[in-house]
Amino acid sequence: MRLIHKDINKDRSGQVTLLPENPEDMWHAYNLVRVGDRLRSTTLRKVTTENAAGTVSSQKQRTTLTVLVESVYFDVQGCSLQVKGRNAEENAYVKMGAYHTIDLELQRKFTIVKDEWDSVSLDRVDEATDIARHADLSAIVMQEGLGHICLITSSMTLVRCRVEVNVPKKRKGFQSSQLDKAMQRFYEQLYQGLNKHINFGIVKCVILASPGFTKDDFYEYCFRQAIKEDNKVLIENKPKFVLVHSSSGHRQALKEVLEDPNIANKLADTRAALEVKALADFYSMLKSDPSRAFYGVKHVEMANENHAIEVLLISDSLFRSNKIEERRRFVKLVDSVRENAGQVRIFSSLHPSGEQLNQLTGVAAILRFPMHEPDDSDIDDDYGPTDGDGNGLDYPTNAAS
Amino acid sequence: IMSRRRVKNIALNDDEDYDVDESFGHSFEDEPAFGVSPATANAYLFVRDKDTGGRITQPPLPDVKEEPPQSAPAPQMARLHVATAGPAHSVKVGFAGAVAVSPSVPSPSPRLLSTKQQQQQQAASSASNSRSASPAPPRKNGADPDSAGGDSTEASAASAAAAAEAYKRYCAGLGDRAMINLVIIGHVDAGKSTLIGHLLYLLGAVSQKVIHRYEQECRKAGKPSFQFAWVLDESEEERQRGVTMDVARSQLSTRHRLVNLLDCPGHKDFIPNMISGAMAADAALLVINATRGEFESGFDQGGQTREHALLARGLGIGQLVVAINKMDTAKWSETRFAEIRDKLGVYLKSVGFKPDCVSYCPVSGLEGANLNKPLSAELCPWYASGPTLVDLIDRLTPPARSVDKPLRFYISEVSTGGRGAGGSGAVACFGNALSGYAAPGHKLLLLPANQRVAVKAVTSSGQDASAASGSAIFAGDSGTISVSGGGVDPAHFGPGSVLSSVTTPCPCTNRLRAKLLLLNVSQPVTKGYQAIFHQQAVSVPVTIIRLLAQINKSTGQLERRHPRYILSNCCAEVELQLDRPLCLDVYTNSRELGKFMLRDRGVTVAAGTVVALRPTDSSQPDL
Repeated sequence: MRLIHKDINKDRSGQVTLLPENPEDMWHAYNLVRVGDRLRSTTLRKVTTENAAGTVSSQKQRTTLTVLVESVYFDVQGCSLQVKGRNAEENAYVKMGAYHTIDLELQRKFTIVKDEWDSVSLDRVDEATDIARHADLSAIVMQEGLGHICLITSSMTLVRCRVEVNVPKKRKGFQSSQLDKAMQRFYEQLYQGLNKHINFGIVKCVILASPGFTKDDFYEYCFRQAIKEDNKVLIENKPKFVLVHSSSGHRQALKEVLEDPNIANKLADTRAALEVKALADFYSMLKSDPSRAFYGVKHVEMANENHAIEVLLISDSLFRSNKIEERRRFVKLVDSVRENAGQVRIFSSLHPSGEQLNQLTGVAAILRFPMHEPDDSDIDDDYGPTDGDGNGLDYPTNAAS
Repeated sequence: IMSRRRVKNIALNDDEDYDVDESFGHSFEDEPAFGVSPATANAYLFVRDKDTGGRITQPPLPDVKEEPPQSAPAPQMARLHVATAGPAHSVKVGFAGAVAVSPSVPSPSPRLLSTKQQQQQQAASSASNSRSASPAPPRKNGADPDSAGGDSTEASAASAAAAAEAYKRYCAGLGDRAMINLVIIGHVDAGKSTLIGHLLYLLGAVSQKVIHRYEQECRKAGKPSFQFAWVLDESEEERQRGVTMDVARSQLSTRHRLVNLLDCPGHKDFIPNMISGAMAADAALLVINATRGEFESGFDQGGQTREHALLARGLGIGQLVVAINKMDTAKWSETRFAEIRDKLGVYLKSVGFKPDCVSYCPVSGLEGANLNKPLSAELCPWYASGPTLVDLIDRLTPPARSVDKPLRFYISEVSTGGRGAGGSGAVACFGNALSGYAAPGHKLLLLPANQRVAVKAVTSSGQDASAASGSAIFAGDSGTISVSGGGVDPAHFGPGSVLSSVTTPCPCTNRLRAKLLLLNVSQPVTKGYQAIFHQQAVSVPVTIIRLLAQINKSTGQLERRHPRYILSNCCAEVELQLDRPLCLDVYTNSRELGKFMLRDRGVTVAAGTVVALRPTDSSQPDL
C-alpha cells in the first residue's frame, strides 16, 4: 500500500489517502475502515437518465463519492472489501443520503476520514505502507487423500484450494493398483491446484508438508509431470520447493509448518512466525507458572492496573468491533501497556495462531510477576456463552478410560 | 412464497433459552449454510426435533420384539401424505434432492424419532395419520416400487424370533469356535508383519509355494528375510520401503477361536491408520523387539510401544498378549525375557491393563519358534512347557456381541461397481458391524447423508467359516454390505458413514459434550484448543469450545467448575465442535461410536468418551 496523503489534526481527527497495490492491502483497509467513518473513492454508479422522448436508459458512470460508512464486508477468498453507506457529499449523479456500496479496487486510491485516529489505526497505516517486502510463502499440507494449498503472507493465511479424494485402504486380496490409481488422481488434482493458485513470481518458497512419505511421492510426481508437460515455470522454480514433516494434512498442520526450524530462516521476518512463537510462549508460561499467564478481558485489565503486563497478545478482531466504546477500551489497554514498557503483539485473525487466540477470548497477557487470579464467579467472558447448565452436570463415578 | 435466504444465526446459547417455537416454521434455507449446495446441505445439516425443543434425546432403544409389523399399505400411503402435507413442505419436495427433512414436518425426521411415539402412532395407525410411520424419503421419487415389499421384509426379519434364530444358526455354523478380532501393535520393526505372516504359513493359510516365491522376490529386491512380512504388506510401496503403512486384514482359525487379524503399522506417522484398526478389535497382540537396544528405544518416550499400548487401552481393549519377539538374537536368555516382562508389566499396569488379562510369551517370528509348536527343551529350557502363542490367542475371551441392538454398520471403505458390488447401481460398503444384524432385503438408513438404501448382498468374515449363516452379518463381524436404492449416490458414502436401522437411526452431529482424559500435553489445554478427532476410521479437526469442569480422575468428583486451563493427566468435561458432522453416540449406548482419541502434532493428547450430543451448529465464525 502506498501512502499518498496524511493529514491528522491535534484533536486526532483527520484523513489519510492510500493506494492499495495487492490483495493483502485490502485486509489492512478492512481493519481501518469502521462504521461512522467517511470513505472517499472513485466508484461506479448506475445512473438512469430520461431523455426527451421519455425512454429511460441507464448506464454506469464513474464518479468520486464520499460515503458515510454503515457496514463493511470483507470477502476472504477474493480479498475484496465492500463498504456500504450513505452519500455524504454533493455529487452530480447521486443524491445526498442515497445508499451506495463502494467496492474498493486495486490501484485506485481511497481516502478515509475519521473523527478519531487512535494509535492502533495509525500503527496499521504504518504497517501497511511499510516498504520492506515480507516473505510470501505458499504451503501445501497433505496426507493420503486430503490436501490444502495455502498462501501465507505477513498478515493473512488463505486456503486457496482444498483437495479431498477418497483413497481406498488395504484389504484382503487387495489390488494395490487401485490404491495407486487413487493416489495418482489425488496428485493430479494437487498438481492442477498448484499451477492454478500459486503465483511463482510472488512466492519465495513452496513448502510441501505431510506425515509419512506422501510429500516425497508428490514431489517426484510433480516434477515428472512438469517435464512431461514441459512446464517451464515449474521447472525453473524447483529450488523453491522445501519438504517438511507435519503430523497431518488438516489446516491445523500449518502451525507446525511455521515452527519448523528448517524453514525458520526463510520465515525470519514473517509476522506469522512471530505470532506463532508468541502464542507458544504464552502457553508454556501457562504450563509452568499459571499465575503469570492471564487471558480474558477482565483478567488482563486487572493485571494491567497493577502494571504487570510484559507481553500483551491481542487479536485484531477486537478492534473491528462496531461499538466504539469497546474499541476505545482495547485501544486504552494497548496504549497503557506500551506506556508501561510492555510489548504488544497484535495478531491477525487470518493466521491459525490468530484464530486460536480468538477462541481464547482474543486477549491474553504474559505478566512480569505472579498475580493472584481474580474470582471467576462474576466473570462473563466476551466470546464464550455462559454455561446454561447450572448445577445439572452429573459426573459418573468411574474414571474416563 | 419462498423467503429469501435470511441470515439467521442459530443462537446456541443453550438449553434453557430454547424456545420450542423457534424450531417451527424454520425454512430450510434459514439454516446459515452460506453457499452450500442443496446436496451438501442435505448431507450435513442436522434438523432439530420440535417435540424436544431442539435437544437431541436418545430414543429408548427398542427391544426388537416391540416393533410391530408394518402393514404394507399404511407406510406407502403415509409417505404420499407426507409428500403433500402442508404447503411449505410440498414446495420443498419439488427441489430435486434438496429435501433434507424439513423441520416443518418434524417427526418424520429419521434421526429424532422417538420410537415410543412412533409405536403409539402405529398402534393407532390410520392411513390418514401421515406423520406416523416411516420417515419422509429424502427425494420425491422415494416412493420406491419395492418399498412395500421391503418394509414387510424388514418388519418380519426384524422381529426378535427371526434375529435370534439367525444368530443361533450362525453360531452353530462357526462350530464351537467364537469369533474374535485381534489387532497387532508394537514399535516399528518389532517384527509384527513377519510374525503374523509366519503364523499364517504354519497354520496352513499360506502355501509354501507362495512363501518360496516371496523369498526369491525379496532377495532380488535387496530385502532378504522379508518374505513373511510380504504376505501382509501387499502394496508396492510397502514392499519397497519395508514398512507396513496401512492395516492389513487376514483370518486364521485356532482350536477354539476364529481370529480376524489386523496388522497395524508401527510408524509414528501412520498412527491414524492404527487407530482405525484398533477400534475394530477386541484384544491386542503387542509385539516387542527383544534385541538389546531396540527394546529400550521402542520403550522410550518417543517410541511407539508406549503409545500403542496407551491407545489400545484408551480404545477399550482389555486383553493383551505380549509376544516378546526376536528372542533368537537375545539367545533365548531367561534374564532378558524376565527383564522385559517386568518393565512392561509395570507400565501396562499403570496404563490400566489388569495383570491377569495380560500374558507373555517369547517367540521368534522369523524362525517360527513357539508360534504353534512348543519350544524344545534344548533351545529354551526355562520355557519348554509354556504355552505357545496360538495357545494364548486361544484363551482370549470374546466380548458379548449386541446382536439384538439396532443395526449400526460402520463404513470404512466404499467402492462402486466390481464383483463385490452385486451389479450396477449398487455400492459396496466395507466395514464393521457394531451392533445388530443385517441381511439382504433389509431397508437401512445411511447417515449422515440421510438416505434410505436397501441391502442387496452381504459378505462377512464369519460367513466363510459358518456355512449356515445364510449371508447375513452380525455384530462383531467385518464384511461388505452392497446397497442400492432410489437415487443412491456414491458421493454420499464415505468412511465414517453409518448404515443404521431405519427405526432407530444413529445420531449424528458436530457438537458434543465429552469427558476427556488428558495424556501428556506439551501445552495446557484452554478454550479454543484445536486438535484432530479420531473416531473409528475418520479424523476431523476439532476445537474445544468450552471447558466445563475438571473432574478427579479416580473418583469422578467435581474438582473445579469452568477451569481456565487443564494440564496433563487430568480428567475434564468439555464441549467440542467438529468441523463436520459425524455419526456419534453416547458412550453408554454404543461403546464403539462413543469413544474417540484426540491427537495433535503427531502425539496422542487425550482419550475421550461422548457424554451428550448437541444439535449441529453450522454457523461460521465471523472475522
